[in-house]
Amino acid sequence: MNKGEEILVKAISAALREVASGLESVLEAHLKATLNKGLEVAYENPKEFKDAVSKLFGEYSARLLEMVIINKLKGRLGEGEEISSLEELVEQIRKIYGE
Amino acid sequence: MKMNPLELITLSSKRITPTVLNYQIGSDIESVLYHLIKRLRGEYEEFVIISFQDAYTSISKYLKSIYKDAPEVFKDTYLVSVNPFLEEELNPDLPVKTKDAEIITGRIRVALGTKSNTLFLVLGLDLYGVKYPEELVVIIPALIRLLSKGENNNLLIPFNIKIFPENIVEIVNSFALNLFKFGVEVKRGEIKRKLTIIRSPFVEYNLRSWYYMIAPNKIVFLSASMEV
Repeated sequence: MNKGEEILVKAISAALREVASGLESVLEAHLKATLNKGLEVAYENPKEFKDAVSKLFGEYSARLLEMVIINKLKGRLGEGEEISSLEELVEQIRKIYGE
Repeated sequence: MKMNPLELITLSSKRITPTVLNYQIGSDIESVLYHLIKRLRGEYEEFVIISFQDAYTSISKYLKSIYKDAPEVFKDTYLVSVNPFLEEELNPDLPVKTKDAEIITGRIRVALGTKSNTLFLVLGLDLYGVKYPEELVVIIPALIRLLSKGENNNLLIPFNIKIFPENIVEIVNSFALNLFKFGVEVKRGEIKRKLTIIRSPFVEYNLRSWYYMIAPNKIVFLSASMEV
């Protein structure tokens, strides 16, 4: 797992613990069953991750989770960066870590 | 009298307002909102949705994929869209692009005036609060005061309380005259959804809980010993 991926996965785990304690294992099982992957799919393909979360928790909850994940990494992305989606967040992380 | 919990929420919201639906992730709040709006829509002259951070787009996309009549249920809506990105495609009646809580409520006040006999649905206040936490303490009271002003209004606010600190929880709790909690429990890797009536005018039901399941055309509620 590269640095950017590791940071994102940790942020997702922290966000899940904060807003949906107990649901992390459910989401991981869902990702494994539907995509045969873990939370790292968020870094590889953010849209695929979001679609999977929406199917499991609903679109509104998925959007909320997305905002909390973005918020968790806000401090690492530099001032003035306006990030509105997981896709933009991953793009930004890739830029910062040169991946 | 024995009431279906959805009927209880509907009647409570008509009797006193605002109604806060404190939902947790995974509680399928979209379906709850769909059934509530379907029941309430015809009882009010106007239907106004105030959507923060594209929340209405998220909900309508999901509901349209599940319920055939979702476009009908949400048609002829006056849409206020705060900080839209995707939602601009819906041509909101009032787009507002700012994080400033006072400007947002001011623009809404000017555009709507004092409405009566109106159903209001405020979506995504929690999404906005995650992004701009310092604005939340201003916007919650201001918005509730503004939208509760007219006669016979019904204000519904889905809001995930869990993600916010105690001061926000206190503000929401102090303004919510009806408070319903839509939670989730995980048992053996499966999600069980649970509704608890925290506060309602039907005091005999307060603090009662039901597990619920989303069926194609209804929500099935199950108490510990019986179906209601």
